[in-house]
Amino acid sequence: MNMPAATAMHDDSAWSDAIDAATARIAPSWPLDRAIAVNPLWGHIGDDVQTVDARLRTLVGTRFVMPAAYYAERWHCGDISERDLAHALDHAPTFISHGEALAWLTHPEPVCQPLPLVSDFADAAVDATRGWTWREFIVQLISERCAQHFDAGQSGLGQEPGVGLYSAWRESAAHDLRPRLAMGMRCCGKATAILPSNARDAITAVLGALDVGAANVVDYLTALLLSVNGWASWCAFLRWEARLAGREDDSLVDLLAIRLAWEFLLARHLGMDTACSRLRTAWADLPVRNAHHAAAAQTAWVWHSALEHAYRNQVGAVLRARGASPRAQAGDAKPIEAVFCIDVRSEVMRRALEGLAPDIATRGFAGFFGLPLEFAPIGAHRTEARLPGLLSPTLKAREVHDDVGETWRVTRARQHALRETRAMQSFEKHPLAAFSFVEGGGLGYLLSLLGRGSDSAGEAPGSRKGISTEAGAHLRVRFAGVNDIDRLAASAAAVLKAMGLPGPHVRLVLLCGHGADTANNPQAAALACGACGGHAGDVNARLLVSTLNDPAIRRKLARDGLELAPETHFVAGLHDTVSDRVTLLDGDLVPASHATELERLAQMLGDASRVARIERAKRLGLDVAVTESPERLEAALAWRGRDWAQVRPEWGLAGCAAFVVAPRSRTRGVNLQGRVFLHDYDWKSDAEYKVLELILTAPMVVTHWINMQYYASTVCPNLYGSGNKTLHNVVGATLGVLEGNGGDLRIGLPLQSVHNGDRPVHVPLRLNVYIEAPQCPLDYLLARHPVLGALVGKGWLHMLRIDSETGEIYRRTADGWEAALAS
Amino acid sequence: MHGLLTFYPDRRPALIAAHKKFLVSRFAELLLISGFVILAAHYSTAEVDEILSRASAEPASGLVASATLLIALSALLKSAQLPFHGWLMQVMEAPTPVSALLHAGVINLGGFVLLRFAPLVSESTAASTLLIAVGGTTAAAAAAVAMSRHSVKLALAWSTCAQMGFMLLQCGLGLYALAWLHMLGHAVYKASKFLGAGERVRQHVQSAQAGPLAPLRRPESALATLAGVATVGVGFYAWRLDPLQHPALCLPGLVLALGTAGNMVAGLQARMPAIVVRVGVASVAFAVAYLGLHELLGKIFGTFAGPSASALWAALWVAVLFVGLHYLHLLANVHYGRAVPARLRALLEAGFYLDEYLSRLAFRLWPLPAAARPSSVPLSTRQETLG
Repeated sequence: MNMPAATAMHDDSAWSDAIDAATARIAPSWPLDRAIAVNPLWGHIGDDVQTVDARLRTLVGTRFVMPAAYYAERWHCGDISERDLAHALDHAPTFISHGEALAWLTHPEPVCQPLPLVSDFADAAVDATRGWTWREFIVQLISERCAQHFDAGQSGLGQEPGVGLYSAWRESAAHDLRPRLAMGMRCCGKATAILPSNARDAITAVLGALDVGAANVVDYLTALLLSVNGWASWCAFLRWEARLAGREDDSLVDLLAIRLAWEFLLARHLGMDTACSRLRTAWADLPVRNAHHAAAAQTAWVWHSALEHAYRNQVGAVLRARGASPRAQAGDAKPIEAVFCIDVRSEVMRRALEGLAPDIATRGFAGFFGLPLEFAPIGAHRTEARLPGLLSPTLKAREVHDDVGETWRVTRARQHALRETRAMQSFEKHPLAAFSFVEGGGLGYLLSLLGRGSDSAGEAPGSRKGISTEAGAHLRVRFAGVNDIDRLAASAAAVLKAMGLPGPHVRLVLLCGHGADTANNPQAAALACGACGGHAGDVNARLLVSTLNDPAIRRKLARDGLELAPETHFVAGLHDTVSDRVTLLDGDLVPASHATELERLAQMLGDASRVARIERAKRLGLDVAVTESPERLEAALAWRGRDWAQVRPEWGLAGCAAFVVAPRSRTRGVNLQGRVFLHDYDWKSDAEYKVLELILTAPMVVTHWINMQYYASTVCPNLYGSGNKTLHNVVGATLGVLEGNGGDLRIGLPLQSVHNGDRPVHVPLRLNVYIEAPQCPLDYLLARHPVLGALVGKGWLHMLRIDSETGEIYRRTADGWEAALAS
Repeated sequence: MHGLLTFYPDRRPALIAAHKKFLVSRFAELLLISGFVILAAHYSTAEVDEILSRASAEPASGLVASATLLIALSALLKSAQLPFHGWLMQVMEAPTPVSALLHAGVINLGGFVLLRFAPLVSESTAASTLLIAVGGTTAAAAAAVAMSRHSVKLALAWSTCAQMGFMLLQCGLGLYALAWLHMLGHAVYKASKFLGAGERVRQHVQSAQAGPLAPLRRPESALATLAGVATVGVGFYAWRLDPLQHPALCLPGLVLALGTAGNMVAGLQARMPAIVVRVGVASVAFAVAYLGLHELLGKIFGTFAGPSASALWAALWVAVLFVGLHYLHLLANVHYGRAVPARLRALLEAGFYLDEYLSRLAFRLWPLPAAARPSSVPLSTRQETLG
């Protein structure tokens, strides 16, 4: 059979648009070594969140809110009050009575059946107890093909010759015996041969043959992509990365073509005409289904809004209680300032530090400190992108020794150590050497098995072979390739403007990044700093510190009106979020004149760590006896990072629910329970609202991504979460994890990051962004940036404005701003 | 064990893997019991020591030989040898510690029984030949497939399969002391590797930091191969091992030589003289020590007669496979520009299609429970458990 000629009758460009629209819906998923949080529904933000919920129900049969039992529990334990429910019912788009809402808790809408694909028709004829289903089989084959194609270093057969994913599949599918052996499908090879050799042509041809209806094509293609969502997200990452570099990557279209080709093969298998007519009939239902699901989900969203309202009010009441924003007075200038990352984990530390030390002020700023870096560690052949996923690097940095001559020596020693380690691995990795090796050396692993956590597979966190402790102490971070002082000063000026200048009486400013190095954890990067691209924030902090301490740069800055007082000195730090230790970096470069402040800072950070640990220990459910002794507690938490059997070294950002953009005076002294991102912002010193624009378009998007990553991993653990950590199996060395043997690539957070075994620990709430600023610039920026307009207007986050005169809080709704708190 | 493998009973792949394992294991036990019953009946005792001592006293009969063959077959099945290996790969569907337990412990049971009946096996030409042919083929084929895997746990699983094959090959060759050591060493090593599989990402980063591997020219790898063979020759000489008197040692010697060559190649690829020297010294020292270990163990545990000359063809076949494996490794990792032939790659990727047959058989003999039928909405139904 040849491809039907129907293709020609359709407008090819319409199909092409449909392909673009469907692939645009898939959000990227970063590789494990630089995993950062992302909103997995980023490609859907142009649509209302409830519409997207209905879409997921129609296409995949999964919903984007929690099950009724969850809300019932919240209601019965009082987390949702009558007032919250009443508010949510008032704001529901259709009338739902109080009684109906309560009835829903015990009798929710039935589980939804997704619209069928051709593979589902084929599955109807398969006895699932006696064989694989087509759905399982196709996902498995596609997953294996993708793993083979994108493998970054696991396979010992070397890279595949460089053809596209679709071409490679078409080539190999023609000879693959598995469809015949496992599923009894004959002549699969011949059928693939008649498919066009170009992915877009193949999609067009098959769409022409299947004919799901022009209006339904985008959703049909979306459903196909969602059936291999993990690998689709990987391909979307390749596209994201390519676009940042000004290129294009078509892997996602290739993947879509492969999945669609399977629909074609199965339609032939079932009989083209029957399959097509069944598909057409089923998909004619699409608009009805969407409408039905949207209506049926209303009550669920009422309860979800009520839950969100409860939290929003609680935080809002605290923020409002401060009243008018206090004016900064010269008298309360503090000699030490500490700038932390906006990460919710900093909130605990900052609160502890301020509580203990009246002479230390803290501030919140994005943890990459405004430097989009490409960093080259000493002696390493690979650079690291230390910047948010939204940006591409514009600055280069490298690690050097204080002594220029030593730099070369350390580089060489490190490179030697790295290469020797790899060469020695041949003993166990070479397919033949491995046989003799386990006989001669296998028993040696008894020590590693008994003695420690993980085996000698990698370097222990924090240590680097080939670099002695002594040499390590003299390693610094420098800009590479840029000797242009103007450019550096311009970068520094941009950061200072956004971060705010320290007052003239400030003697020491700590710039504190954060990181978490955890053993035997494929998803370790997800616990590190997302703004630093899944790395620790130390490099960025150190680099900004050395730049701002540079007299030449300071002179330059002063000329631009950004004068730093001569007695103000900067120092870098790193907050280890597993052990809650804060280490000061390059402390030896701090002049003796500032030794007192440095000592004071170090001591207070130590004390604050102790307080913060106790707070965190409770959430982790540590033994009370351990909590009582500071030393034991510190050791217990640090061990969690090194323990190879630990599936939950820390809770990460679980619980994150709000982002406060305001001066610290608005939140100082309030226990925000480590659930709030804090960014310092004073609109009075932001003349043209440039800083506000920056905050809304960069940090706010990042916090939204983090928030939605946790949200989606909690409400759709099977589609947007990576499943059970004990089953994780790293694929392609760094591409991602599989759960068990195979199946689709798993993206998002593991169950253990959001769930404690009994119940979800992350309360899935959309981010509440509280901004202390006048209304005009906010309205202007929402209108100016379509992405912001969509995020707020389509219900992906809640935007709230704090009035700095009265402290009153207003929420942005479809109709404008309304008072968020009942008086 | 079945309970552990079905730890997550809603995972269909976990269930079918557990069924496969159950079927293969029970069949293997049936063979073992039949073999043992025959022996027990023949020698009228159920004491293994008694059976072995009586067997050594009288010439082997056909009945005893077939019983030995049954025991050897049972060991092959229990050790997940091709083509009954599928369950071993698929137990990744259970939590990591369960995988570690399987690959370090349970997989050794077959080998243990075989070693217990070592005197009988070394008397039986059929059993020895079977072990050499199946074990050796599995060792080479599974090691090649392991090279082609893309996930860390599957690569480890196939390597277990290969290592078990090598152990059984040594049994077939009568090198029981080495086989013992292999079993113990592998158990510890593999448990450690499975439990530490989460370090894969960190390792990858380090390897990337070391930079790309330098390609070698053909004369360089040929020289390394010669050096490997020469090293083992020196080792034989150092311990006064005459290959003609110890023909059984030739096959492990070949593996050692090619492995040593592989290590030297890896040293050369580092392109730093100091590393070339250190890796070279380490691999020569290892090879000599390995042969010394064999000598030492032989002195402690005594030696067994090697297989009769009729097993020679099997050993030759295995030797060819090992040389092929060495060449494959060079082709894929050392001589760039000479890609692995596409058909061979596809065959390796598919695991030679062997498991498809076993899966079908498992589905037919023992269908999955109806409860594990995937609904067309696998996501939302499973989602309820989170509530």
